[in-house]
Amino acid sequence: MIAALRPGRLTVNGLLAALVVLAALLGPRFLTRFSTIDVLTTAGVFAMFAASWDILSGYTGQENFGHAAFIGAGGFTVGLLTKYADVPVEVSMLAAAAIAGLLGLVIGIPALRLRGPYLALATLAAAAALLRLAFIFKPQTGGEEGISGLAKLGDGALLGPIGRGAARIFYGDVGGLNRLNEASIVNYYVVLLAATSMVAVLAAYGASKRGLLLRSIQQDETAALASGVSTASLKVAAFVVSSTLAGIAGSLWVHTLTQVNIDTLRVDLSLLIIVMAVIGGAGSIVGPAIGAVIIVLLQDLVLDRLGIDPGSQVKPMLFSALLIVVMIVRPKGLVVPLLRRLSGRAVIARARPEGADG
Amino acid sequence: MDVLVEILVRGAQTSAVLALLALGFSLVYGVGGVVNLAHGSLFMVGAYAAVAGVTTLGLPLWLAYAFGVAVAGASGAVLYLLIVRPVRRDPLTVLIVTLGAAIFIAALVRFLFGTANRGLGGLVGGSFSIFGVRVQQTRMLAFVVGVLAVGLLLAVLRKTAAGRIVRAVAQDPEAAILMGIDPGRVLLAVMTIGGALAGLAGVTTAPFEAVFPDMWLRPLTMAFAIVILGGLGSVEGTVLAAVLLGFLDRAVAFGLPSGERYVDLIAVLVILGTLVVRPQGIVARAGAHH
Repeated sequence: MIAALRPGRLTVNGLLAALVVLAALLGPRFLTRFSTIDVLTTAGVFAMFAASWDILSGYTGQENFGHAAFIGAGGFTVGLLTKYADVPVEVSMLAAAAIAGLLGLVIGIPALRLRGPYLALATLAAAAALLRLAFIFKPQTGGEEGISGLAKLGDGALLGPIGRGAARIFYGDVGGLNRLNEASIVNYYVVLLAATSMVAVLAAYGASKRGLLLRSIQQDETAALASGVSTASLKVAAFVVSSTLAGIAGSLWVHTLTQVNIDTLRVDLSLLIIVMAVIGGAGSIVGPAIGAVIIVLLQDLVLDRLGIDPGSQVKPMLFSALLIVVMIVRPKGLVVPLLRRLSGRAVIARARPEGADG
Repeated sequence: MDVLVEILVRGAQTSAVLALLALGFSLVYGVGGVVNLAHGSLFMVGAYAAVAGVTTLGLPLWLAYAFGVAVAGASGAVLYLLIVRPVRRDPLTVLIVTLGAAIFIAALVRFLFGTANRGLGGLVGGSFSIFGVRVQQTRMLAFVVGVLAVGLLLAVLRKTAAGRIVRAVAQDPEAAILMGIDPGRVLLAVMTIGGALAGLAGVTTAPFEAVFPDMWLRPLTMAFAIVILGGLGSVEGTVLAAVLLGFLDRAVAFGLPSGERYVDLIAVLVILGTLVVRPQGIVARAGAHH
């Protein structure tokens, strides 16, 4: 830990992060196809999913198998508020955060008593129940079809000008584009802003004393308790932070898609997020975010261009097989160890306490 | 009155199927500390393999049923050898890879069979009446097969040398190793038997339930609810909890207005409720594994 705080390493981290953000800001200028912009936006959304999963599960080792519950709760809050109350984007986003956070609290408190497989089973079951509720209240939620007609984020009174301003600076004149493309570009910059801030905040949280205490739960919860660490309140807090941020990310996602349906609640989504975090390297925030971006780009840019039909079953088969192979071959993830080697352990030196792994 | 009889009759049948389903899940946990999230998928594999036996292979119906059970059992063995064994030491990795396997199997089923509902013919036909409640013969068969299979399994576990070995590994793996037992081989056997039992539940319920690619999730969550209520790894607790949940399931389905819509919520409420009130389950376990 002490080594990680040396100024030299922080500078390397900061420089790399700045380069990534700059590339993300300027990237859209060089795109030739507008459909690609929505893929990049999705990558940003999934980076938030994976990073928010990581602050609970990667740090404490309490694996959440139902992250989709919080994403879907946020998404459906937005959908229902838009359908019945027609509230502004910003208001529905705040409501989504509140509902998802509350759900995290409700699941988190009983989960306090759970260790190991019990928490995984409880979160998986909670997500399955929410999926069921979405079917039970089909007249309201729309069931399989869901709720469509949501606005892109550029329509917000507060977020719109921010996104438009960023687009004007980094993309150039958006006035000449047609309305749909303009909305996609503005939407991209809003999501990029949200994703960058969320990953930065979570990384800071993870590197803070609280983050270290969260790790102590993973290392040895009994020892942490004996040292006077209130593991119970820490876990609940991490649960609420994780679920609230997942709700926000979920609301950004459904605005990007301009619709919300039950796919936001499926087990497949929860598993995909675990895959992203594990491939990226759980317990490092940045790793899972990178893992998410890589997987989204891989599946949308590579697989789709190879001509694999997005509706076919090849993708889920390929990804679940990939996950199993990665977990068996390399349980510590692929991205973080690679980055570590490239930068002489500088980038992710904070990922695990020194000497915690091989 | 009619409703009460209906709940009792149908609850008994549901209980038998659930016990069959949950026993394998519970035994695999008890013996190897392995929570197999692909257990519900083995139920599905049994049903689809029987469908394929009829439609693709043109087998006679009874042979297609046997084929379904055999494929589910073999799938349990393959799951263990290919996926579970390399990561057995880490329970959380086991959860991730077995959930990955469940998603893989669901995608494979969609790829091979499409997303539309499939049907499987019953070995028996028609229906009869108990206390004024019509019961399909296929449900009666599922009940009888379930009770016989559960009874047989309990007898094997209690009375035979093989059963003693399984119980020994569940109670104390280290001591079992010292006695010359290889826990890996025992777990392979238990995963095969658990898969076959799940497949048996799958083929016997397929004639009166829908066969579709998402059908694995409900058996899985019911199996968790049962083993959590009964105490993870406890055989007697599992059977008791399966009976309780079977009747509760049908009580909700027939007792509440359009109650069938709410049955999927039972599992999660039971799981969360048990974890809050009595995390060790209704039957306290002797010789806890973890």
